[in-house]
Amino acid sequence: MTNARNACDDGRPSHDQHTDYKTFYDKHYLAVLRYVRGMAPHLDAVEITADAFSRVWETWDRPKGERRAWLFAIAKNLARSALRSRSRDAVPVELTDSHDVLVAHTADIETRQEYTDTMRAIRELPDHLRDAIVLNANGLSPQEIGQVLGCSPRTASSYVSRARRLLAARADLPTGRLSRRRPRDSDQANDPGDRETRGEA
Amino acid sequence: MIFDRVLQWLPGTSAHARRRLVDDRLARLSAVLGAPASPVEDAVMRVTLAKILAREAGPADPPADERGEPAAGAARTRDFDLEPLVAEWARGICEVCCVLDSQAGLRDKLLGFAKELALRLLDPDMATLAPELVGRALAYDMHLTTRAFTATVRLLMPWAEQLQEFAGRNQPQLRAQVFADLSCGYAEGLRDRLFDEQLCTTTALQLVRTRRPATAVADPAPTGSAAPEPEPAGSEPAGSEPAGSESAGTEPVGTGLGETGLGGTGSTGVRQADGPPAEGTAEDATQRALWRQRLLRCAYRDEVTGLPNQRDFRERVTAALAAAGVDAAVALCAVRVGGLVSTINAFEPAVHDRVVADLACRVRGTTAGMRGVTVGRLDADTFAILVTNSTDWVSLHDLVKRLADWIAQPVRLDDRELVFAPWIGVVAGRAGRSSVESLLRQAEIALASNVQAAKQPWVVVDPGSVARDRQRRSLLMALPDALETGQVRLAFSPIARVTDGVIVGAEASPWWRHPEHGDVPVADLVALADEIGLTLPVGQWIIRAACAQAARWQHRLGARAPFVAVNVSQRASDDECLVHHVRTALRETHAPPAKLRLRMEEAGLFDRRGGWHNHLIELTGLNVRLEINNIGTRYARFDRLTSVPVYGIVVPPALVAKLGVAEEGNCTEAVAGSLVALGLRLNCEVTMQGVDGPRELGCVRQLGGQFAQGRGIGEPVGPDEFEKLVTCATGDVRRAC
Repeated sequence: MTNARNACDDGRPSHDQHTDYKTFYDKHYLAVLRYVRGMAPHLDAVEITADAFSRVWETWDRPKGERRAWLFAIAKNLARSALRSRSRDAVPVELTDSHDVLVAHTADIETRQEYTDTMRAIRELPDHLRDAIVLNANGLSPQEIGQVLGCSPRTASSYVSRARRLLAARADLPTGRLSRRRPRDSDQANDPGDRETRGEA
Repeated sequence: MIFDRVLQWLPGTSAHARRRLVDDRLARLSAVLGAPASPVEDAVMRVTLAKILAREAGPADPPADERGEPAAGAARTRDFDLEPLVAEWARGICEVCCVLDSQAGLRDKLLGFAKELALRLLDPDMATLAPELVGRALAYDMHLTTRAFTATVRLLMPWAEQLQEFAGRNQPQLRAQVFADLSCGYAEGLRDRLFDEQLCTTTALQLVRTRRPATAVADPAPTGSAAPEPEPAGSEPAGSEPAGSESAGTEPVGTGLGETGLGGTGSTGVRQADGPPAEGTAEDATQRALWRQRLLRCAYRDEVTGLPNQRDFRERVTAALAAAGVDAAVALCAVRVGGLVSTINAFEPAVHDRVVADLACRVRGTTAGMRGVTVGRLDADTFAILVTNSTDWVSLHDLVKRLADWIAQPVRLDDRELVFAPWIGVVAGRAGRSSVESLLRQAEIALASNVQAAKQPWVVVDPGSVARDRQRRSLLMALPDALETGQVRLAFSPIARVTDGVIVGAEASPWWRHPEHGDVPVADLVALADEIGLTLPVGQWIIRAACAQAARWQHRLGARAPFVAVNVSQRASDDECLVHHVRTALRETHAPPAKLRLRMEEAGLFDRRGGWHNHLIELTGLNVRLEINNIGTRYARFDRLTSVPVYGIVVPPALVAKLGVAEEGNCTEAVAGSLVALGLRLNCEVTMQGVDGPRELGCVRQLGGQFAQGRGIGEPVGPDEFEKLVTCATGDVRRAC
């Protein structure tokens, strides 16, 4: 545990490092925790997040690129590796669904349903698009997403927009908003569909 | 493609609507992800940061492969090559002991054990297998002899030292702890294996004895062959040593029992051709072992539920606190099942056991999936759960909610359902600063405060309340002496008739003039005694003193003598001795029975089936008048009121105090008015407590209440002053009324 740069003479981290790290931790802890929970609700997200922050703290004086992106990348890799080795692990700590953790119990049923629908749609996306859109929802810039996913910022923003298009194509519009006429039973037999369901204007 | 992209920016198209919808949903998802931290998350966040900063002295050189490694301790373990150790370990074992496994299997097992021990030595938080279990597996599963275990320890000791030096953390205490646990686990595993093998042998021998007369004819081989092939009888294998050598003069005893192994004792279940088998010693030892197991079970296990009893739970908590580390956060969750004892006593013991076992299963089931949790039964109706794993703190709130939900579910008996109310108290502490006693005491206090509040799902106690509670309990213990030495006196609160302001009654309340603590209201202590199940002679004393005072006033004041109302606790009103006490007091003091009014809680009037307490009917036969106290504040069944010969009802101060206040008063007024109307329709006298001033008095009169009591009528005073109040000083009250 030796360190020479930006540290006190005895190898311990300086006061400034502590302060910076605490600020960074306070700012990003919840985001990473919820990111991991959304990714794998049945894993011990607290432990994985703690591990990720611990790794960042170990290399605090040698940042590899943007720290936030680096943090998310570690969290993603740790969660992936925990998912892979889950069968070898003991009983998971907490079997809670992500919406139970993220959406307060007092939230109304519509909010919970909407959250569940959104997450379900996101989970059906391909891996790279899913990661990109979730990181985007967590507030990461295209540069940071590119750093997490190991691609260029341009590719990252392309992923995000493709994910949005896919989500839009698969979204169910609420009834009564555009479909002004409820189809009759006789219509359903022959009619190929309303204009909205065919994607026409 | 391009057409679609253009469409989604044109308002009025479905593509545009979908894009807006997705944008909207993603914005809300971002809001959910960025929501402020809940208190639990905040606590976890602080604890995690403290752990990170405490674990690492500072930013360190990164490992070779940064991403995707499980943990730092595991990385260090991996760097240290375990293969030479495992090879040497396996060789050392094979030299002195017969191993049941193949070489490869043995090496795999030993490698797993070595990894776990290494993790335990370097980073105890990361290890999943306790050293006790490793030792137990060596003795029980792998049948290592004591010589092989000695060789193991000789090999592992220097290795552990090297490993810690390699990792840069030399911790002799941790090493000693690991090896102590390992040896302890080995000893227990060895003992259990011997007991199991002896039990297996005895079973086999008893079967032999029962079958012996029929061996010649009653054991036809399934295949029809003349010489049946012997098979091992027990589920346990033969043991580390091969079963005793079968000489040429032996023959198998019965089918399926011939080669029963006795690995631990060295004897076999084969019978000499010309002599009886040696059965006696094994049977005796097994009986002793069974007896010992039964004794241990009785001493440490709760008989009905199979959970650890209070003694075992204390020992487990002590061990868990010692193992958790000084700063580790621990929580003790005490669960009391309200009404369990009183309810199930009405049923026969078998039913009683079923209900308790059912509730114990629910309590145990709530902790499923949590690590570092100890469940025990502290008392007839109290269970306790100790949580030492800090990661499970996140789910502590969920655990409490699950407990409350599951216990509140009805317990189904054959044709009826029982419903119990859970009371849960949670105590938080640090392992280094808490003892078993302090945790259990605080949990008891948390339960008591939860019972009093009855609103919170759980209560965390503070040290101040501990001191207060201790003081209350010491007072409670000194109360019987105080009764004998005359330190307890009755004070009387005047009760006035609303129409003309005449003082017609007095509510007797005992006060303790304590030399150190000043005036202490005894009613609180009586309530506490009721709560903890202590039967005090206070109720009897109050009734007697009240009767004496009523007789004295009757003698001095004649027709103007006030009645005396006495509050009777629920425990006292359930007691059949109440009639005896009242009758004795009336006879000895010559008090007129009509001047005595007993105020009881509504729950105290009825038994569990909703019928009248028979002894209360006897009381009304004595012409003693019963009143329902604090009506409307607890769960009440008004349908039963029609069958009750109650003389009066008492509306509590909580309902009267807010009368006449602009906003809150309307609702209270409706409730109080309904209760007054109910009492009047039932031909009851209605007394309203908590009349502290003209405002409440005016409202009471408006609502139709007949009697008023409270600070506006008069403060509690001694008997002589009360007498003066009745005879001459009623002017104020009359003016007020």
